Amino acid sequence: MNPLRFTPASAAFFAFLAIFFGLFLFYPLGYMFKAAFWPAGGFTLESFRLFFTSPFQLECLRNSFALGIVVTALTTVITLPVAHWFSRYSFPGKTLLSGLLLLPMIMPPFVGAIGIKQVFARFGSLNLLLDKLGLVPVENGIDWFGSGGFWGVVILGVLSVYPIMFLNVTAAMANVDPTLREAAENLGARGWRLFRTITLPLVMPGYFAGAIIVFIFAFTDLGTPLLIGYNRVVSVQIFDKVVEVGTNPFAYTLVILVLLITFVLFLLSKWITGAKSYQMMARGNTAGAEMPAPPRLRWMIYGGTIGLILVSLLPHASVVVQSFASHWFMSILPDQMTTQFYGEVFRHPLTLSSIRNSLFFSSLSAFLDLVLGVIIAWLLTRRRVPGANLLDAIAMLPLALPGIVLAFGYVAGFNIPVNPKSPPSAWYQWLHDFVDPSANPTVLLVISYSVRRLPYIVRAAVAGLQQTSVTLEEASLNLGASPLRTMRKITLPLVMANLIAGTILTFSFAMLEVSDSLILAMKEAYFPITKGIYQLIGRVDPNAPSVACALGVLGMVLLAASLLIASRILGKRMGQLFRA
Amino acid sequence: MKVSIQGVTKRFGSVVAADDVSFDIRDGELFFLLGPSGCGKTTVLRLIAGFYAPDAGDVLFDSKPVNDVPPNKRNTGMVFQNYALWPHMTVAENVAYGLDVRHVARDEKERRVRDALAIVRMGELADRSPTQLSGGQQQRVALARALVINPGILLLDEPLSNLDAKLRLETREEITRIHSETRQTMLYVTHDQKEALSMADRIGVMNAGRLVQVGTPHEIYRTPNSRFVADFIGEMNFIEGKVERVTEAEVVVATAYGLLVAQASSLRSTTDRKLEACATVTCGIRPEALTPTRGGGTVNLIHATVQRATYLGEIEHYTLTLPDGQPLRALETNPEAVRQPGEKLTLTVRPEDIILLTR
Repeated sequence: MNPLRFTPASAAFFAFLAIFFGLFLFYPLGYMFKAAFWPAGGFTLESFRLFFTSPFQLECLRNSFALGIVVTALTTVITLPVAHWFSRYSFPGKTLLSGLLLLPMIMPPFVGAIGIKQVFARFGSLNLLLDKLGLVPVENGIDWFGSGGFWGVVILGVLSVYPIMFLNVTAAMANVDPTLREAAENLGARGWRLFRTITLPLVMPGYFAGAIIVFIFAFTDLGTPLLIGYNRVVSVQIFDKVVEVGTNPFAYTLVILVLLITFVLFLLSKWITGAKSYQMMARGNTAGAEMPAPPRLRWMIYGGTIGLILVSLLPHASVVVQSFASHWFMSILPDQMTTQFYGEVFRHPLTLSSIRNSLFFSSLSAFLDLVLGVIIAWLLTRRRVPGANLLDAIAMLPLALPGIVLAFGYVAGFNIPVNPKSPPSAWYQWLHDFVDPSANPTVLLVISYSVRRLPYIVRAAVAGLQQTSVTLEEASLNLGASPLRTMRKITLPLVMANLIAGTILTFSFAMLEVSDSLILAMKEAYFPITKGIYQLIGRVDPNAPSVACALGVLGMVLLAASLLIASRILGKRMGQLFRA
Repeated sequence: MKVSIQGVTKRFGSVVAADDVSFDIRDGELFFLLGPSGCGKTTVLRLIAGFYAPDAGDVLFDSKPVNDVPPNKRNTGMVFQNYALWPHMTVAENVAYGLDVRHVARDEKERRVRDALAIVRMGELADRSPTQLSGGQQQRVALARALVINPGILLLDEPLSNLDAKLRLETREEITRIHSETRQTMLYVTHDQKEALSMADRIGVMNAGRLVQVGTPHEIYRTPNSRFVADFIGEMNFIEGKVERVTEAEVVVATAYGLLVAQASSLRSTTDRKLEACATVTCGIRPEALTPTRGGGTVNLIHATVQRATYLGEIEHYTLTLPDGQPLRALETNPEAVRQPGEKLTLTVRPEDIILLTR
C-alpha cells in the first residue's frame, strides 16, 4: 500500500466526486457565469453597466451590505464577552447555560419574524401596552423595526446567528495554551493589556472564521427580509426573478455579483486567517485553563448570559404564543388560547405533506452527506493523493456559497422544458419529470441541502479520523483483513460518534434551510416545512399565521431534540464544526 | 518462514530512508535491526509488512517475491510501537480478529485465542477493554494478537519503548521465552543496544538508511567493522596510530602514548588482512578492557591522570586525561581503592582486546 499511489478504490471515489461536484456545483455556477457574461453568445458587460447605473439596484446592494456589516458587528459585540467568560471561568450551571445559548439555532429567523411582528408591529402588543400604560398613544406608536424594517431584520439575524460566532470564538479561546497567558502574566502583563496583546491576536483566526459565516448569512438571508417586508435587498430581488429565469438576464447579473462578493470576502477572511494562524509550538496542557469565577463576576456572567438567552428566545416565545392564539388582533395578548391549530397541522394537507417532505428530504440529504463526507475525509486523511488540497478547497467552498445562489443556479441550469405540443423522447421526458425542479424538486432539493452542509460533515469526519491512529487500521490489514473489512470493522466504529453527530447536524440544517426551499420547491405537493410556513403566512385565512406557527413549533421541538443529541455526542468539539 | 531483503531502496521525497539494504532472516531466527532513531529500521520493517512498496530491490518470503502482495495477504504479525489495540473491542475480540478474517471455525478459534492469551499470561483479562489495561498488559495483548495467526514472521516495532525500566526487563525475558518455545521467526526493531545484545540471534546495525554490519551479538560487540558500530554499541576509546610492523601473530601500532600491540587475528573480520606498515589505523579499546596495573611489561601500557572517579561498589568508572589532554574512559571491576582526582594511573590492555579499525 503505497500512500502516494492511486488504488482502484481511491480512483473510483475520485471519479465519483468529480462527477458529483462537476454536475451539482460547477455546472450550475458555470451556467450562470455564461448567462451573465455571454447572454447572447458574445461577451458583454452590458447588464453589469445597467446594474451599476440603476439607483434602485445600487440601493438594494447597499442595503444588503449594511445588513451584513451591522449584523456582524453587533454579533461580535454580543459574543466576545460571553465567549471570554465561558472559556476562562467555571461557574455552577455552565453546561446548562452553554447549551441554552445554542437554542436560538433551532428556528430559522424568518419563522421568528412571524411572532415578532405580532409583538413589535405598529399595532402590536408592545405599542398597545405602552398605550395602556399611558406612555405612548397607539396612534403615534413607535416604529420598532425602524427604516422600513432594517432593524427588525438585523435584530432577528443577530439573535439567530450569534451561536455560530459563540462556538467559533470559544473554541479558539479554549485552544490558546494557558501557559502563553501565564508567561505574559509572569512578565507583568495583566487585564486589558494581557487580553489585547496575547489572547486577542491568538483568537483572531477563530473569530474571522465565524465572522465570515455570519456576514454571508446576513448578506444573503432571504426569509427574514421577505417576511418583515424589507424588500430592497439583493436576496429578495433574486427571489423575485426566479420566475423570469431564462428571459431576464438581469437575474444572472445579480446572482453572479452576490457570488463574487461573498467569494472575495471568503478568500479575504481565509487570507487573514492564514496569515495570522499561529501554530502552537509547544502545546501545554489546556486543561486547567478555567478558573472559578469570582462572586461579583459570576453575577455579571449570569445576568449577561441569561439576559441574552431570554432576548434571543423572544421570537421563539412569540411563535409559541401565536401557535395557541385563536384570536390575536389589536390586543396585548391573545384573547383566547386553543390547541386546535396543532390538530389542524396534522389534518391540513399542506402542513402534513410538508412535515413528511421535510423529514424525507432531510434524511436523504443527511445520508448523502454522510457518504460524501466519509469518502472525502478518508481521501484527505488516509491517502496523500495528488489533488488533496484541491479536494479540501472544493469541499469547503459551499461555506462561501449563499443558498440563493446555488438554488438559483439549479433552477436555471436544470431547467428542462417540455413542449406539450410535441411529445419529447422518453428519456427526455423522464429527465424532465425527475430532475427539473418545476416538475419534481426532490433530487435537487436533497442535493442542494447536501452540498451546502457538506463542510460540516467533512469537518466532523476528518476530526474523527485524525484522532484515530492509522496504526489501528494497519494492525487490521496486517492481520489479513481487506481494506473494505478494515473500514467496516475498525475505522467506521471508531469514528462513529463524530459521524452520528455530523449527520444529525446536517439533518437539522436541512430542516432549517430557507432559501433553497423557497426557491426550488415550486409545487405544493413538494413543499418542505419552511416553504409550507411561508406559504401559509401569505394566505388570507385569519388562522393561517397560527397554523404556520404551530408548524414552526413542531419543527423547533424536532430540531431541539436532534441538536441536543449532537452536542451530547460531540461535547466541546461542537464548535470546531462551524469554522470557515 | 525465511525472509530475504535484496537491494531494497525506499525514498520519501529527497530523504533516502532505506539505501540498498540486503540481508536474510533465517527460519526461526530472532533477528534484530538496531540503530539510532531515523536510521531507517522501521522503514525496513514496514517494507516487509507491506505498508510501503520498495522503490528498488525485492522483498522475498521463502524465496518468492512479495513486492506486489498487499499487506493483508502477507501473513505477517506486527506488534506496533503504540500497540494499536482497538478500543471498541475486548481483549479477546482483539486477539480473535485475525482468526475471524481467516474464517477459523468457532471451537478452534476459541481454543487458539485462549492459548495465545495463556502464552502471554493474559488469560484472566480476556473480557476487559484494552483501555482498562496497563501499558505492559496492552503490550502482551498486542503480542498475542500478532502471534495467534501463526504469522510467517512476527514484526516487533520498538515494542518496549513505551514501558518503564522494570517492565522492559520482564517483557524482554518474556519475548525471549516465547521465541525459544515457539521458534517463531521474528524481526525486532529497536534503538536499545542492551535489548539487541541480550536477546538477538543475529543483529543488523543500521545507520542513515544503510545496513552497516550483520552478525551475532558477540561478533558485533567484539569485532565491529566501523567506528560507527563500535561507538553505537557499548562504549569505545579511539586512539589514532600508525602501523609499525605486521607479523603472523601481531600488529604493532605506534601511538602518541606508546606502542600498542594487537592480535593479528583481530583483523580477521574488521579490516583487510594486508595492513601495511605506515598505514593509519584507529585502535578501539573498550573501557572495561583497560585495567589499572602496578607495572611490569613494556607494551600496551597507557599513562593517564584521573580526572573523575565514580565508585559504584562492584565497579568503578574513571574519566582520565591522557598526557596530551585527550580524554580516556576506563572501568575497574572489584576496585580495591577509591581513586582521587589528580592521581596518576598506569593502565594495561590485552592484545586481543584491541580492535583495529581502518575507517
